Amino acid sequence: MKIKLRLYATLQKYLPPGTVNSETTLELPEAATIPDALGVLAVPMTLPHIIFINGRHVLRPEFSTRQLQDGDILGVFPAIGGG
Amino acid sequence: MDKIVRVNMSDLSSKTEAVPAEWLGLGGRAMTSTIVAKEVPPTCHALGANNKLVFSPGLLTGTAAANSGRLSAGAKSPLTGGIKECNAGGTAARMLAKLGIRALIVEGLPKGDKWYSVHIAKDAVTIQEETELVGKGNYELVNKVQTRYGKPVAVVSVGPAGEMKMLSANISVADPESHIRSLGRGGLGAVMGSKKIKFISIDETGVPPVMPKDAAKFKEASRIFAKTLLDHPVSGQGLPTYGTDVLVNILNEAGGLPTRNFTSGQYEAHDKISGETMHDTITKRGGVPTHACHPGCQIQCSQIYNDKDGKYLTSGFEYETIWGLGANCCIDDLDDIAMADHIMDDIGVDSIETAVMFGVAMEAGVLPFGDGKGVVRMLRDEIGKGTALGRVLGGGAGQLGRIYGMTRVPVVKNQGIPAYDPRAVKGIGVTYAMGTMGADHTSGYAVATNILSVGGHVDPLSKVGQIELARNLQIATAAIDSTGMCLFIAFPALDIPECLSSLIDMINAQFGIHLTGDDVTALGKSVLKIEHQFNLDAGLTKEDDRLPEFFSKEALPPHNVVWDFTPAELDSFWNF
Repeated sequence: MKIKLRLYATLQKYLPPGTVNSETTLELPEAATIPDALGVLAVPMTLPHIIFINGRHVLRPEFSTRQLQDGDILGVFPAIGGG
Repeated sequence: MDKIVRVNMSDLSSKTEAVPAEWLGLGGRAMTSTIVAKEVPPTCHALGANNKLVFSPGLLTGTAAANSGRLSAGAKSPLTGGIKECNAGGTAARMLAKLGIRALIVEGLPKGDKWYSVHIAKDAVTIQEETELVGKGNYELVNKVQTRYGKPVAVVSVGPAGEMKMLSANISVADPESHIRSLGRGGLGAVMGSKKIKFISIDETGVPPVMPKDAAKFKEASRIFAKTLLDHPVSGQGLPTYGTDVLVNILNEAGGLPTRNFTSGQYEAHDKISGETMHDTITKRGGVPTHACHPGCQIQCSQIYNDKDGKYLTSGFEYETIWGLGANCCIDDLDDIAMADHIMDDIGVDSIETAVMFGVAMEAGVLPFGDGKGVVRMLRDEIGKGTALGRVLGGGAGQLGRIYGMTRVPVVKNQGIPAYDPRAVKGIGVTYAMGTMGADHTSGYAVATNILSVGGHVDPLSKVGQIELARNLQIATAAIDSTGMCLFIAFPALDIPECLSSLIDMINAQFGIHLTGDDVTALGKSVLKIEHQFNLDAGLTKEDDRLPEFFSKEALPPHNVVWDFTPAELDSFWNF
């Protein structure tokens, strides 16, 4: 299956060179999890603080177990804030 | 010796008073709101002789406490018709505190058309006629005032918009680089302009440092407090690196980034205006990505943004401004937004109110969506010069909407709604509706818990838990706004218990008192209730604690959500 992975702020350095708009497409096996997707780009699982799938928050207890579906958009942020 | 200074513009006199016993434990917002509620008739005209403009440093301002240099200003707001408190960085708060001035109260109106300046130094307040700087922008004014005194005096001023008493006019405060910070919201610049004060300058020469009653205890608490700011990833890493504009991408991802005058929650060109892009641009052009807005700020979320030629363009370039002209007006050129930010600082208008107004103006056809050059021109040549169209635009989003017959006008209590769509970030929607200040994200920043997973997580798309969240944050914020602390200390305070306990320890060591956490909560509640009562007495009703109708009728993509709180649910906010 294919998903779109978006990495922001300090996580952008893990994106392949030449990435546009913070987004890259990943080819993953069926039932792949969030750590499987992040593992492709060697993003340490200690760094994500906020994770979205299709614009909805994934709660922290599900960071390591949540399975992805074909066409999902996975957005990942470190701890950030402003206001 | 702590004191209250009163400047009476009706007879151009000043006097110094002892701090009344009931005001001794107050600072910042608690001080300004208490004085406004006690001394300003709620039904007075905000631009008339009976309104008062009150400035107050926070309880810890002037001490060695990190991030304690915020200046509060309060009055009856000409924009909302209710009470107003704004706070900003810059150097003025620290100097007032060192001079022992717990509150500066400006009263009355002068007769005639002359303009004045007020100079405050050790043991002297001087009111003088001002001619040279009338009509000038804030950048030139700060430079000339500091040259006139031959030193970096603090400067608090109004630009042309304040002189013209526009409802979007703000009050500017010079920062350590003589650039501009803003007491932004609610038209306080119009109040200062109504009193014919072009600027207030403050000279701290000859005064000793502010010393705590218990120096050893203060030093230890101050060390712990500063460490929590460094240890928390938001205040220690995220904000210093990217500034507040880092929020563009996450609000876009969450579907809560108001776009094209609040018709969508996502902006296709988000990457062009993001904090990440801004950071790279600043670095490439030799600007400063990490900069303090006031002495002693450790978080340093401000920045210095240079133009393509490497020359200074703007600073304090905030998410809300970039969102407002970016996603909200569909301007995808950060340089156009930076130029607009510079002009807004210079002519002295609130960048949130003005950006929300431009979103409505674009929908009304005054100028096209995406027309960054048009915004720059209108700021400079219409609002800045006070043409007839400029006066219309300078009255803010609500006024513009009424004049052009628009229905999609995002305001609460006539104040423009900032940067987070209340349909997709429902906790901040409750803050917008119920806040005593009109729509104001800083008065109870539920975005932290709804979106940023700070202080736990409350689902932004669900109503569950939002009233309680917004209430608790508004109470805590009213207390923090009284200490002189930057609100961004709330990020560590929500996650690290030692942050709040060391803050209270610093206050206790400073004044030789024994406040508890409950006392601080009680202070926050009391401030909110004083402000709410003023608003009721001024004629606002619970029907003013509501969002505009379109939020409950128009579903916001991509989540297709509407605003769905009942009036009774909202009114329960005040059950404390």
